[in-house]
Amino acid sequence: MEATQALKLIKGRRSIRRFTDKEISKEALTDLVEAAVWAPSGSNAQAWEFVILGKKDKELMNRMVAFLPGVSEAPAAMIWLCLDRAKEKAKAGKLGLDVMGVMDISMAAQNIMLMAHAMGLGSCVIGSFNESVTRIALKLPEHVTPELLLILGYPAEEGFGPPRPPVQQNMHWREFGAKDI
Amino acid sequence: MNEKRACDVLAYAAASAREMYVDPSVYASHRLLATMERFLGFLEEEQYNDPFFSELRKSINDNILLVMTDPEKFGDFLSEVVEKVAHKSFEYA
Repeated sequence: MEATQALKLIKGRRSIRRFTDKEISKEALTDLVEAAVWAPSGSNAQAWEFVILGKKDKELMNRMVAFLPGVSEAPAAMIWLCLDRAKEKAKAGKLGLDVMGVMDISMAAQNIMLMAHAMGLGSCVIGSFNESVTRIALKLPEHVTPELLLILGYPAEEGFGPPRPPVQQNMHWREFGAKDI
Repeated sequence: MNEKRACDVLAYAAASAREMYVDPSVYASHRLLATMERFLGFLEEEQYNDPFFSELRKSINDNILLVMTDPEKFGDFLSEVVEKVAHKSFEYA
């Protein structure tokens, strides 16, 4: 892939919250998780776990949506990105538990969203959810925490992209505030 | 409204009450609008005929994400919603 194609893919991904009824195949969902696990991982902990809800789980997703902001109906699929805190602690210590594990999850989520976009799927990342509700619904063991939710499906809406300021606005050369080399 | 839908309203209100405790305060407004939108959706399922409800729901759907992109317009929209509901409410006076 050329750099311009990569940038086009990155810029083309938008948050999609409404989807058609078309299902996502098990193979496609597996490809998305394959993309996720190739994200960087602090201390190579790879302490992520992915709980996937698909076409057979519509009613469970509807029950979860009842508690979720920003989602009005069950999507075609959900991927819950979770952190195995016992594994993270063993491999990456306190820094892993406090910071790196969640960063790993975030980078894995971005991989999934870009892969989904390349596959013609829409996605939206949701970080505001109730942990207790999620634990009950997904039967998570105590050492596994839900960190992010991705909702996925074939887009039924155009995503909108809030404009970005010129990139130079947030760039600093060598020292903070210096706008040129 | 059936018991399942009543439970849905309770679910969203309960989860919102918990998350609003830690979310940025403007998201309290967002969540209350979302609660209205869901409630209006359930009314549509019950086939309420008054177009006010469907128009209000569409209006919320069209504008709720202003919370992320244009807080000033979002504030204006909140005022607009109150006015719309007030006009409707006083029809029953």
